[in-house]
Amino acid sequence: VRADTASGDPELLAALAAGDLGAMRVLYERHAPWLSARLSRRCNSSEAVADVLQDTFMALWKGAERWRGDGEVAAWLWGIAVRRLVSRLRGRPDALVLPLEDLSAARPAEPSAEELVLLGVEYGDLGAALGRLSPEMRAVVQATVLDGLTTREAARLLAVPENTVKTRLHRAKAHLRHDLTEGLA
Amino acid sequence: MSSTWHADDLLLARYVDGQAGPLDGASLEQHLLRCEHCRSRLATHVAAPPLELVWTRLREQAQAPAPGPVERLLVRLGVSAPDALLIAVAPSLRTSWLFGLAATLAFVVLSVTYGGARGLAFFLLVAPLVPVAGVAFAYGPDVDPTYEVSAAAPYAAPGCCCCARGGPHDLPSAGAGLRRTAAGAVLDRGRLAAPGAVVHRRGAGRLDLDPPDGRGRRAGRRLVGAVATAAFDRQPAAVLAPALLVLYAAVGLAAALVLRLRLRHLTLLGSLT
Repeated sequence: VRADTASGDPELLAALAAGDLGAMRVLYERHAPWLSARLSRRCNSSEAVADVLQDTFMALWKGAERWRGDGEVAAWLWGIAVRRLVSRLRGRPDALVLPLEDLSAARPAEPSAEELVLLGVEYGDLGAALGRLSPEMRAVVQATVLDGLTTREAARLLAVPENTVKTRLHRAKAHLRHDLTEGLA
Repeated sequence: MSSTWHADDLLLARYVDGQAGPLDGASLEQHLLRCEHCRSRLATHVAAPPLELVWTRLREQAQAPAPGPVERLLVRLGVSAPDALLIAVAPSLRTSWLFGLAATLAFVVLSVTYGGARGLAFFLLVAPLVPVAGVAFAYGPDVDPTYEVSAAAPYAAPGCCCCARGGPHDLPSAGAGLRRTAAGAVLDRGRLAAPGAVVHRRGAGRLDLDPPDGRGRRAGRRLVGAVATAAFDRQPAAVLAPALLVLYAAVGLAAALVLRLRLRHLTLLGSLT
């Protein structure tokens, strides 16, 4: 099977499973940039991000046939990458993981009242509600809801017991629900 | 999924810089999973050199031949990857390597079982000498393929012999393994954190082109200093204990024996003896 830059991701995966390094290069050019950007938002060590990226594509190289052929290749790749990240960060309690960025970091300067109104319109209540969660709860929401990790994997990533993850997620959802219904009322 | 919304360049740039807010960031991430268009536009914001570096490593790893069962087993057992490769591809080295390993283990077991403070002093004294004996055994035209090269060096053979402790050809001998394990054993025992161990490790698996006499002398000075400091810091009298004197004599005798056996090969020109 030959694949080139015009092929779709599934064809490239098939070629890669047959041992075509060129197909992996094309896939790498397509997916490595966003994967690296997304991983960098969860881990502040560029060295670890590079390792995880390498591990992810190495897993692809060895197990491309494991793709079941449904859904997006990108989502599948992210699933591999985030699990590699979990195992790469295991035993690293020096808090490599960044929770969803602080809202303060999102706005370098103090926003004017006008901007605040615009931001409120643009982001809606969910953004503000997310912002009001404690960093620990946001980290749990990010790991489970947005990154699709299981409770156990999230617990390993965040170095807290599984039950803590469950409790925090439960509370975070309650907070969000409360905030959003208040906003509607 | 047909989507008409696409991320603008400002959002992409802020996202890559880590400046996008939580909601923007999360929305973009979910969008990116489904939108090839935005993924390729995001790629223009990501710095290329680090990615190319990863690709180089990735390509090398993908093209590397798969390690055989022996090599994998060795790596799993904790042997370093280059050593494992060497042992796996060179069957002639395997026996001596295994022998060296067994001797090392026996030595460690003996020293842990019977060694006290005295045993430690003895160990520190003998550990640097054993590799020299190993090299002496592996020296000479009949066993050492690089003998001609080393014979051409303008230094006396015993000196060469002492310098060659860092060379690659003593790797399969008892030397390298013993030195490594020995250093580990000293550290494990939690005492005398061992200037000696550091010296051993520095020598392991190294071959450079320092003038051999300077290096040999330096290494010799360091070893003697290490053993002396270590022994005297703990127990000044330990090195003079009667039981040890016998052992010194035994080691000296063994050294003389080795020298006698190999003397013919230890001169620059065999006929000069």
